[in-house]
Amino acid sequence: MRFLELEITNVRGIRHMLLRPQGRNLLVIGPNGVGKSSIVDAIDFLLTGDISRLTGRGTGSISLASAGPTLGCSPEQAVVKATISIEGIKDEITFGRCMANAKKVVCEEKYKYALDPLLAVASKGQTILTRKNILKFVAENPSDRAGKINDLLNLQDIESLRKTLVESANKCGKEFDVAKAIESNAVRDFLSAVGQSALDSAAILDYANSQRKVLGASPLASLRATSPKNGVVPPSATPSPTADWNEIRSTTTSLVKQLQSAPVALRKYVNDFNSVIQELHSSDQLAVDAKQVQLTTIGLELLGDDDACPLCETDFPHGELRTILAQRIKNAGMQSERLGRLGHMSGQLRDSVAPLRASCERLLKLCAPILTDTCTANLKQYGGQLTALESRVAEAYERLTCIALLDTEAEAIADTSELQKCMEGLLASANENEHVFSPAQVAWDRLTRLELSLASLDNSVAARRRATATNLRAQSLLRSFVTSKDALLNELYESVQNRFIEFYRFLHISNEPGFTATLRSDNAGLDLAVDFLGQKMAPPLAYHSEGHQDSMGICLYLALAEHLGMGKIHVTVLDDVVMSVDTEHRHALCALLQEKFPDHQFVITTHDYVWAMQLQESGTVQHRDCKELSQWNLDTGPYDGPLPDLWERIDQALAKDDVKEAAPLLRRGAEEFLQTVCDALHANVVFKKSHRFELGDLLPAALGRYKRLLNEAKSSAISWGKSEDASTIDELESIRRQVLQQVQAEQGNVNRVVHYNEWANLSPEDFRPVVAAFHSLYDLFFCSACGSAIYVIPEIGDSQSLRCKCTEMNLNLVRKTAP
Amino acid sequence: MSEPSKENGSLLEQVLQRTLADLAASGTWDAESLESLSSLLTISTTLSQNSLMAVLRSRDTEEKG
Repeated sequence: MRFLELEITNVRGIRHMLLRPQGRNLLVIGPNGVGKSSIVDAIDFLLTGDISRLTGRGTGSISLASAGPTLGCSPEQAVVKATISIEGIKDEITFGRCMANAKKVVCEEKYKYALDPLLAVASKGQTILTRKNILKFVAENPSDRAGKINDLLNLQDIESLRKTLVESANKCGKEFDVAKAIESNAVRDFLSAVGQSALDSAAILDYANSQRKVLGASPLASLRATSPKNGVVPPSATPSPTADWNEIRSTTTSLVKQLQSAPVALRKYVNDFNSVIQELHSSDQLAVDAKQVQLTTIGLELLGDDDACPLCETDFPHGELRTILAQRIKNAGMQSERLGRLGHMSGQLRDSVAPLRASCERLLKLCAPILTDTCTANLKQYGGQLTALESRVAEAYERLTCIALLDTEAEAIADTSELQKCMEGLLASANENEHVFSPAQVAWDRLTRLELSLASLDNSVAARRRATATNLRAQSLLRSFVTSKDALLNELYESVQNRFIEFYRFLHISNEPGFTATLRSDNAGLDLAVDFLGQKMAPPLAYHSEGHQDSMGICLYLALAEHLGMGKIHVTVLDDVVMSVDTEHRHALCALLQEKFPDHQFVITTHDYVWAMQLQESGTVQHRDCKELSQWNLDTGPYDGPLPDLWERIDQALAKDDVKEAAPLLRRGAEEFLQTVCDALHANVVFKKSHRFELGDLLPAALGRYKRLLNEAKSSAISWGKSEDASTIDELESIRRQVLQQVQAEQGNVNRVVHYNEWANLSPEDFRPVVAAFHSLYDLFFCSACGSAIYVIPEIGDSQSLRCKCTEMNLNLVRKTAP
Repeated sequence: MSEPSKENGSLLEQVLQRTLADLAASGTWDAESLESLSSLLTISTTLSQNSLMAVLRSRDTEEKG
């Protein structure tokens, strides 16, 4: 798609404007504040139904309806229309949008089939590169760059799918961990029910059959096929026991044993823990280091099988994050070792406290109907103290502080005499009631417990197996997706990278001919590394100047631009972008746009008239496609007209007898022009460190070089026996002499302009011949057939030919060598 | 849920095709589940996590053994 015509009515300060680029590049020039960006906004609106400048940060309550129409106009009056050409379609197609209904595209029904796919691509708004946005591709961190370039390449759907897969994989991983923990508990309960230490099927079957035997039932061949109580007749009912004396006895015995040693050990552990904490805090830096090690350790523990950072969910190559975190912990030396000791001590404390507390709680539950009030109170109080101690240990370890334990609290934990008396009472009761249950009742109860714990174990194993399978699938899906995505995107990025390198080398052939770069997808990020003078690959910000970074931004955008239009949109708007390129590389940028994008239409805005001239001289933009905006005011919007060329502008100034305006135009224009000529003809200009070459430096160099080139061309023509070419060269030489005479005739006035800048003292009559002489001088270096400037090839090395673009002028500079 | 957009569908489609082929080769997915996954991924580009979890947890995903 290319613009043939663009009509803007009542949009962003423009009242009415008609542009007719006819598919060619379009240049809009004018000082700041005359409406150049309004044209960009209008194109943005036409293609997307929105104006990106009116959205985003800092735009607050501004809306398209309120700020889109020119002040005083309603949204109904704000309209942008375009006539376009579409590749493969003969007809020109006209379509438009009105701000009153921004999403609706108005066009003839019969063209919608062709227009809709184009606007679907264009609606992403990626056809416009603004000066503000150039650096965002090179200066961002990898993750933000990936986001911006993915936006530009319209890869949001792929990224969105990746995030969903990561979330699902994480969820499945967590569910698997939970299922595993539940299964472990079920195994423990089951083993406790059958009095075994391992899952030995034969031993468990023996246990079940021994209980069945007590109840007079036949042995089972397997516990898998049937219930352990299958075929067992329940024992006759007996009065409900008041308590399970067997368990009360075993639990009480266990608690008594623990009370004899645990409190002393607890105190020692607390003291040891607190001394290590004091070592850890012996300096502020050590305390900070310890916190960092602790955080890293937590990160390592949380690291799942999916290799994603548990904090930000960034994906890492398999095992990389685990290695990084482990290395950090290793690097922390003594603090890591201290933290390890603390972890061990807090574990010992927990392991000592938890069984004591669990025994207290168990007895309270088992003996509720028979406990005295004093025993109940003692057990609750002791259990409560232990629970509080557990919390303090956990808190102290988490915060890396001392375990705050008052002496009275420590004494209370150590003083177990009252509790021991209670336990003695309980044991006596248990012994008295030992024979309350019949063996058949005990066996029945054991089979019941076995049956329940076996069912629970089966359920937990099945759940863990389902979680394992689901997790395997989720992880494999994520892995395959990420691998496929990275491979495909890297192919795409490699193609972009190669074009980026090609463009940047084209712009910087003189100082970075061997430039190279890498653009690589790295999980959720996109790394851009560029070569710095063959020394090092680094991010663009590391070594390159801002000007070079700007160049990179433009080159990367242009490399991406080839993918952005998806072969459908052949328009790119460069809004004040060329200003970011330093003067040294502007000619190269013109050549880049022409040579690398011959079928692409650029809409270029700038406020720099020298730039405008360079764009025209290089043939990037034709004079008829230059639009100058000026004198904006509220009532009329910008004045727009064709951009006058240099001679028209000088004539306009002289028509007003304004030499003060005309002379600097001539001087500045001539300096710019002759720089182009000297560059194109490889003329020797006296070097200046300041790079500020003036007319006095350039004029003799250009004329002298041209004369020598004609001499070389004539010698070559004679050596090859081409007398016709020699005659043509004689004519060119004759013209050159005439122009030189004309310039010399005005030498006095020319010198004032060239050397002394005494233009203020010249009258219009004195100045007009100077202008005429320079005009003739200009013509000397242009092809009369194609209008392009003449140049020498090759770019580097010995000159071989003096030519123009259309080859109407194509003079061989190489003499025939003697046989 | 939105229809896949034509202009970037090709790249997304390529990623999905490669992913499904890789999964089929890995053996972690049986043909029937892979078919369900394929349908789910190609129907919508804004895949909901619930739909995906339903496919991941489908009954025949239970680990054998």
